[in-house]
Amino acid sequence: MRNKAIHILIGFLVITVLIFIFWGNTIIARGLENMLQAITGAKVEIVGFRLNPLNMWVQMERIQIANPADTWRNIIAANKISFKLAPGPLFEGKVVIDEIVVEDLVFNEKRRTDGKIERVRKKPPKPEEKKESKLGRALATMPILKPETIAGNLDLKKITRSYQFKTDLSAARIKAEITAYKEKWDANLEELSEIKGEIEGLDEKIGKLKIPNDLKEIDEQLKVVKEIGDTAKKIQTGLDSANDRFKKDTQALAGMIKGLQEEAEADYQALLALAKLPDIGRINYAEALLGKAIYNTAVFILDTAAFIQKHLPARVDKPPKAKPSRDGQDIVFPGRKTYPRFLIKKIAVSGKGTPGSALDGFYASGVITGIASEPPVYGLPLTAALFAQTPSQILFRLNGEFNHVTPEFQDTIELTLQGLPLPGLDLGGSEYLPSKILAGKAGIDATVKIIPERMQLKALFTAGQIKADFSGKPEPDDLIAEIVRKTLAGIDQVTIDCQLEQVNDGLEMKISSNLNRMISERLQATIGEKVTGFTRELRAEVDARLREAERSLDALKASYEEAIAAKLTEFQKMIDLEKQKLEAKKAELETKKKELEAELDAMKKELESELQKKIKAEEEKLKAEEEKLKKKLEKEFEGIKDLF
Amino acid sequence: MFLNFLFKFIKALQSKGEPHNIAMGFALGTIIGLTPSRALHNLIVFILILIGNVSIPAAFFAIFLFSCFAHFLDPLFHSLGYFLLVKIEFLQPFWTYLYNIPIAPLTRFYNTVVLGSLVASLTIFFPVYWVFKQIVILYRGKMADKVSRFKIMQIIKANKLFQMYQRVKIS
Repeated sequence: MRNKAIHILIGFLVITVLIFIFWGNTIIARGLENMLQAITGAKVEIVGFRLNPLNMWVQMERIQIANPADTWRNIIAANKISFKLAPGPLFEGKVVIDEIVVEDLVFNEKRRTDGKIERVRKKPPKPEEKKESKLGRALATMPILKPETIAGNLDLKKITRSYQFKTDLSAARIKAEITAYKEKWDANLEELSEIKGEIEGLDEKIGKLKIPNDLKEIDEQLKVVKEIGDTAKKIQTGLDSANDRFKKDTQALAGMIKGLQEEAEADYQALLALAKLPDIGRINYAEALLGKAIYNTAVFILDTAAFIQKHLPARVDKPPKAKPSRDGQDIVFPGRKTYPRFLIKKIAVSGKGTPGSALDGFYASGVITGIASEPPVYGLPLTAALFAQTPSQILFRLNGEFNHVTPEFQDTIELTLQGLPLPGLDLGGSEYLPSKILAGKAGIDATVKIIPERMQLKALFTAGQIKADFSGKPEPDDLIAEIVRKTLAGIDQVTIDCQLEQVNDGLEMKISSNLNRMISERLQATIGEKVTGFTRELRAEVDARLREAERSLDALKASYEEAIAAKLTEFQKMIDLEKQKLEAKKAELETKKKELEAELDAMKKELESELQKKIKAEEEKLKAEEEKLKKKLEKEFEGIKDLF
Repeated sequence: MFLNFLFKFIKALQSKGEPHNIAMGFALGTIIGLTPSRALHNLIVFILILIGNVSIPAAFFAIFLFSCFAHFLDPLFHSLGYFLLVKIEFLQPFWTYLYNIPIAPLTRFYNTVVLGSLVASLTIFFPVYWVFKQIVILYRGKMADKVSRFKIMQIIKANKLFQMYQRVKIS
């Protein structure tokens, strides 16, 4: 039995060693290929994988990753990669690599075989639906301004005659509200008139207060004063509460009157719409023209950042396990460096396009540090600094820091693209935009910040030396389309500042551009004084109605306020007067009390002094008698002495 | 597999082997059975079982038996390991020293369940050895014949499948 077991064990060990010697490298290489294929979604091939188990050096003669879009080309390939695995952590099942240097990356190389892999892919959600559901508000749309409708629609009287002003309706409603408030306060004041009776009752009681010459009676009068004071306090509390309610009502009415300005603005916009005139100074033309394209690009950048962020390793330290499984809990002691399960401290890459191919002259380099499966264990963030330059002088720079060392992670990605050729840009099917751009270059400076539950993108797009081609587009049939076309045709430089913020599932976008100013200026100049004058008149009409409504309502409110405030002030004065009277009476009583107490003290002192004098006289008298008796006794004693 | 271990174990009990060897094999098997398998000390104990003059069937039977219910005791092992690793302060320099020398960490002594179960199995090592030795002596003296006459044993032995299995094993 024993020999049999030992033989089996030795046999097993020999087979394992043989498998490792003959096929170990192949098995590891296939495992690596499968792992990388799962990550990249493209075919990965590793040639000449060698692991030296003595010094743990790994060498690969070649690694190539197929382009999923064109499976007959490699998206990236590298020759002669070597790195050293740290042996210590390997015994704990941890893979730690200090540095990988890849010096000759080759991009877009032709493949000898098809790099297609059969895999079941999940159907991605429809991008449009996703985006629309994400965006908190609709994108601005381009207004339409027909030249032939301008002349007919600029009759102010005609437009205002048929229009029911919201300002007037609201003013009437507020007027009714003021009347209702007044009625309510009239009723309140009737209730408050009872206070008047109470104050008069107080006056009568105060009048009946006496100033007696007896201390006991004075104390009784002071008790009455306290009772009257308590009643006055109750009346004051009731009056204060009425004042507060009145102030709130007044503020509510003031708010309603102020709200008329919004109604007036709505009237102005509605009248502009009736005249079929847009408010040309306020339209975000850049958003209307390019919003969707910018939004799609920005969402793509955000989604990419979110994808990278989502696939980054563990964010937080594993909390101590409450219920340990067979795994137990590892206790970390100081001294020995602990490593994450997987760690590449540094990867330095550089490469170029295949000579003779379309990418001849392409150059890229970069350094990535801190790729760790558990960043909190490693203690340093993942950083990436990548640079690329194409033969056509397009520059790409990416600097990123993914700090997942603490639970409150913060990821920042800075992306710069310069010299992007505009001729290849897809402008969509918008009737306002050119069919193609003949010349021009663009640049993008973008920063993405990701913190828990918030993602923010700030991007500045600049394009210069633009030459647009509108051939094949139908002639514009409205004024704005014509002006937009003229502006875009003659434009030399465009800057678009875009901010996109994602909080949970909501998206907010802000776009500003020099296009807005240029188009609105051109519109102003083209449509001319007539439209400007009309809008000015329209604004004046709306403002006049607003001022009139505000004036009449303010007057109504003031008269109502005045009446009620007067009544409340009257009550306040009455109660103040009674309080003063009461205070005077109280002071008088207290003075009298003090006087009486002083008199009593003086009498007491006089009586005491007299009593002292009498006691002293009696004492002296007794002393004299004592002396007399003493002398008499001494004489008798002397007599007795002589006798003896 | 369990039946295989059981029959080999009964065979060992009824063999002429020393009770001491059978009990020692069982006690060593207890260590492997109670502690998590991924630890260096288990390899050492396993080699001891193979090269030492102890009963391998008894050791395998103990490994199988204890590993079946060891995980039920894990909360207890975790508490014991945690107590030794964290709560006892004067042991801290010792653990830190072990943690920083080359081979010791491979034993995974810093894991609460590993240390707890190892300490528990070492503590019960001699009691298990002594008790099991007494059981073997008692079994051989009084129970071996009775057990052979148990109906269940006769049924098992009479089972065609078992006979076939025995023939195959012998051949």
